[in-house]
Amino acid sequence: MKKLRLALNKGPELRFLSHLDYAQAVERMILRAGIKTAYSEGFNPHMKISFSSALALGITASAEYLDVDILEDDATVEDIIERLNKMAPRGLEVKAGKEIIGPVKKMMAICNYAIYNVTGPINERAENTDWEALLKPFNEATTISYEKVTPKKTRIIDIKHFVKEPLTATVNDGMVTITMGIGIYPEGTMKPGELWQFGIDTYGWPLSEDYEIHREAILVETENGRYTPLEI
Amino acid sequence: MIELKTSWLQHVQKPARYTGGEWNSVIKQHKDIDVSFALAFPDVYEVAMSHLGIKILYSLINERQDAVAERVFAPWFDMEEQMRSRHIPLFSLETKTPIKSFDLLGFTLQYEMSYTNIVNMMDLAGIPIYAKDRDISFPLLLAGGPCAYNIEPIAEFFDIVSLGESEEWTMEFIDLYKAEKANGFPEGKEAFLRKAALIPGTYVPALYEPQYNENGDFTGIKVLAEEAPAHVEKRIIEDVEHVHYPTNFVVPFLDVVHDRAVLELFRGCTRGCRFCQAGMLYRPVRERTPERLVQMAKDIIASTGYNEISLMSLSSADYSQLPKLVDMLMEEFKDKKVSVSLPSLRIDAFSIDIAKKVQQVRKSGLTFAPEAGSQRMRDVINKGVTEEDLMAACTNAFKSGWSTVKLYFMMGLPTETDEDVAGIADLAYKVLDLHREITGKRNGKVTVSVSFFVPKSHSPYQWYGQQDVEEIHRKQQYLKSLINSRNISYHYHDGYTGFMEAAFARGDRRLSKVVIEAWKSGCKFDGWTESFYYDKWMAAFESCGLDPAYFARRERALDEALPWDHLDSTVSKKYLEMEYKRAVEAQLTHDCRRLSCNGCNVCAELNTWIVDYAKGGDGRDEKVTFGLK
Repeated sequence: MKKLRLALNKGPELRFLSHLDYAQAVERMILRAGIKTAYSEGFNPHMKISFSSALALGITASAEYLDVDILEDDATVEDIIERLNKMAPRGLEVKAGKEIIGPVKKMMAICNYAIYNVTGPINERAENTDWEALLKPFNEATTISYEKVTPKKTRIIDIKHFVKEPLTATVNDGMVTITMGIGIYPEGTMKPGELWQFGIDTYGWPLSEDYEIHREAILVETENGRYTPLEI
Repeated sequence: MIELKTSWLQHVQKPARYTGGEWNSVIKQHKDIDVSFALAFPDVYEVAMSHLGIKILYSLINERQDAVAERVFAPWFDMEEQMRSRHIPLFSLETKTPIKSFDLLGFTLQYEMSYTNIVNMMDLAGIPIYAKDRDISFPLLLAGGPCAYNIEPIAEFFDIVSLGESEEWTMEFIDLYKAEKANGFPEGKEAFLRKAALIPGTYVPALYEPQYNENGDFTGIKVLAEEAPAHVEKRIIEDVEHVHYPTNFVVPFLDVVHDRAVLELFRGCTRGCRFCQAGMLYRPVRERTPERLVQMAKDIIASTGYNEISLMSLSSADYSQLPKLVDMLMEEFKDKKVSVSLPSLRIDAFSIDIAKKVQQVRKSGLTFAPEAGSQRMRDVINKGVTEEDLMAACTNAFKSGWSTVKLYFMMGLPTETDEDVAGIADLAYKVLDLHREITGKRNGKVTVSVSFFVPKSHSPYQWYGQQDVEEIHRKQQYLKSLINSRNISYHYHDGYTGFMEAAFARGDRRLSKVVIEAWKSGCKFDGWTESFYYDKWMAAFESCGLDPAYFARRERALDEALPWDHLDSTVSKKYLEMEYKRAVEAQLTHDCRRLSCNGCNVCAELNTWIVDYAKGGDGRDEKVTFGLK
């Protein structure tokens, strides 16, 4: 048995799959490809597979990572990837992978940083906005308190605790993409859509609720830098 | 092609209901295709995607190079609201093509209470609802499925109805359509419909006109064109072994109601339960060989990645080769974590043995359908099951580790008394006591589910007047008063839906106005309890000057003309009449599958035979058959 770590995308075709739907689509792809995998014991055996994150419905991703235990000792990683891609639905592609040797921590536990690109149309009146200047107050602030409302409770968080890197904006054909690096910590995180809405409400960003979220990367941040789950 | 923007789509429930792109879904360029066919199911995605008929037709049509089939289902309330406010017409899942630009739009009619959804989908598509208001520039509206046998209440909406199993019919119809389309439909729509009427199994409602007497009673149907047969005979597939069966099922991303590979073991069922319309419509029995079924299963699993196979038929435990098939499937899939499931169990110890085999670890609940509480009542409906059978099945089950049993019953059956109703509670207690006796434990669970009987056309009870809703409600409460155990849970629904269903199941063409009126007042998804509005339906009947009780509750005379007499299931009316009389006398009729012919007429009229591998060989049983006239 060996453990493989694979990087897969979640394209716009699969945007509206919930994390569980996406995970099931991946499992069925593995079954169609005829790749022999390990299963848990018990009354209801399930495939030994774990994901780096639970990507919300509506969000696309350049790379989602998964670990899977496979029982094909002779197969190369390249071979497995090729077999999977023949059976992948539109919007899903296995991009890269490697064999993991030795004990591994659950990826869910180690991935603590994500980079999102949130894109939406700019209000017509604000076509000539100087985005760098507009984002400056946010980027230069040391603390920004935010009332985070969840169905269970409301609490005050410091946005800058989660968003340490400056936001950047790229304008293209009446659309702006704001790139956000957001920390994912045991104490919580900030959703990219929340940050977008916060910018509109607090800093008057000339945007609307019409936006799409793409997760550019999910990373492991250490004292030495940031690494993808395949690099670490 | 219609664009669905993320900004709003992400706010509707389960947007993946509308985005398509599933594995094995087929995308073709419409400009390269001669005939485009939208396959419609008038309910939400999760229900629609569980239907085998659409899977068969989808695969069959898309095998053709010259045709394309795409799917379209009813949008849920929130999506409909978005579509209407954004002026988005109803579109197909595959290529997001407006339904209005398809050549053909075919609805499957599974359930009477889905009729308002058909109207709503037509309206969303921008297609006039009545056939007479559509010229050939609109898609031709087709229908099939069990409710097509009495499509009369909505017949005026449809151009063409296919009766019976439609694999061969669909191919013949597409061939005709393609040829006529290539010629530009030289003589218009009506000429085309007349030509189509010549294909066996085709009903063209516009070529028939119902007649009524001065009392408003239906007296017969007048045939308006020489191409239209006086009786439209259903089609069957004689050779189910070799007919096309899909192995490339579309694999949904969402959890749908039945999310597994489906293996159809055989068609037809001749047990002859008198309440059962399907048992009359799908005759005769025709089995597939276990070898063919295992090959189908292997192909489906390889193509879909499913890890469960459901063995489906009207009564799967009656498959002559079931033990052999189950062994072969278990052997084939033993290392692949593919499980086998049986959706319905016959009430006997044998079925439990099979269930034990397929559910080797998980002991989920078992479901049985005694249908009625007393032996007399079970004899009336010709359910050839005794209390001993049920106790034998439960004994086996409890000894093997099951502790939960679900029992299905009907209420409102002909000749039913309070004694018969009390028999339901009695049976539930006996099963519970049996569990305690066998296991010595008090943790047994019995679920009793009781539905309100709806008499259907083409069954021996097609003449029977449905019981009053008030009477059913009284009986429901009476039964409730008899069940006082924490270990028995009792489920039932209010009777109003069943009353409406009964009106449409045996209604005539005058009811189309009622469907439209109910839809105008906001009725849709009427099969969903939370969106069924009895008062709106009653108001719709009233505004049309019609009484649902006339259609649902009136005991019809045996010599009365019935609105569906021209739609021929090939079971003779005389046979149904005999069965109705035997029912009232509580006389049983045997299953003709392995015994002598009872004279239902199907084999004789279709000049066909039963295929059953119980006796080996090629399974063909060409015994002497006849039809009661």
